[in-house]
Amino acid sequence: MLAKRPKLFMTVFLFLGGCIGILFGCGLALFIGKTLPIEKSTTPVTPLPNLAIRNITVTIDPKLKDELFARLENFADEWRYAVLIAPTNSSEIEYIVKLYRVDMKMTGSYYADTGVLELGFYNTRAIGQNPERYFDDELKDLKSLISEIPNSTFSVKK
Amino acid sequence: MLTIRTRFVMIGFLLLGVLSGLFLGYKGGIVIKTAGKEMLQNARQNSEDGSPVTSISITVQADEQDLLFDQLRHFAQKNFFAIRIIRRLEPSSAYDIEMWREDVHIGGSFHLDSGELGLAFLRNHFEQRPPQPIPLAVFDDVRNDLQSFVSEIPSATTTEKRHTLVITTNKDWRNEELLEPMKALAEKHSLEYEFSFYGSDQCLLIDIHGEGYHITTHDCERDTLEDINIDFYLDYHKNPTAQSEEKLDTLLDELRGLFGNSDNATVNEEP
Repeated sequence: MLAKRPKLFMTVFLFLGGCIGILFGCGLALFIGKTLPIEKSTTPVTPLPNLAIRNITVTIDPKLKDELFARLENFADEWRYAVLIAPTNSSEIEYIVKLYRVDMKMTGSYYADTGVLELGFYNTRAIGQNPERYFDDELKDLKSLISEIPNSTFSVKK
Repeated sequence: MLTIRTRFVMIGFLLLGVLSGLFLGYKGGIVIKTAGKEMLQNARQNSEDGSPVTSISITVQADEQDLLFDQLRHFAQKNFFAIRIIRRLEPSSAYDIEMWREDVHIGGSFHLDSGELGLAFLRNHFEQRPPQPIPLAVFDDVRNDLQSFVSEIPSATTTEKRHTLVITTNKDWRNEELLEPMKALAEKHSLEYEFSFYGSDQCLLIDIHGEGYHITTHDCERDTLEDINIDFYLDYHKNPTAQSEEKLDTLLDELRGLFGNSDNATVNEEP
């Protein structure tokens, strides 16, 4: 048999040898082999840009500041945001405004002297990709809340 | 009949196969080993990201709930945390509390029935990881500040875990072996001692209470051997007293000694 079909058996021997070799080689590597250097999941020195999906500008009569803040808090409550509205310093001219959720966030400032609120609406993760309609749906609700404040304006930029 | 030359060629082919297989197998094995190590590292990293760096446990009287929430809001405003306090759905009487800043996330709950507030301080892993890790001092500062705000509430009592004894048992271990040393310790120091069963009487809960401290542990009937933790806590309003700290250290040493005599357990202190 072996003598009749030598080429076939040579191929079989080659294949068989290969299999045995792979088995032992793999075992050898797993037991005594040194692992390749693992690239650390390095944090980029320059953070990934996290651009605002929408930019919102609200203007109100500065006397109605508390009403604006109350509406922002209502909006935060409705859409399950944690909220921060705090003066950046003792003069209470600029207020930091933050609405935070694990997927989306709004950050910006309210200027008490001019009655202007500027907010950026972001994905919380720089790599996050929430559909733009999510942002627009929530903004529609925010707009309707703000519009209840007399003489207020609400504009959105992409 | 094979000629000698054909035999050599066949052996040669076999050897060639083995050698090439060894080479490929070794390379493949290294790749598999590296991938496994990488997965392990990533899993460890993820669990570190999601686990609390520190935590706080404070008890207030239930009727001071509004004052507690006000203090939490003041703390959040001072430290630029966005805050959300929301009542859980009925019939629960608990509130969920979350606070967010770019670097730190504080999350936990307040239980109206017991007046217990439990908060954990974590890295905010929803934001980009900063180029440098957040120093532990940041967490300590935030925690201390929160504690100082809450301790303005007259009835606030902070519970701080100081030590944990880990009892590693063998298969001959019995529940009584946990009960006896704990009871002996309580009786020796005239401390309040309580034990109760829960989980269809499958689990035993033991508490020892003293002035400004308490010790607690539990042990459940189980099929596998698991460690039993005995936790030592300080209870204080603004700062712990030196006396209660000293007493708790003494109790730790004595209890370690009592369990040290057991043939069915080894005792270690958690670092």
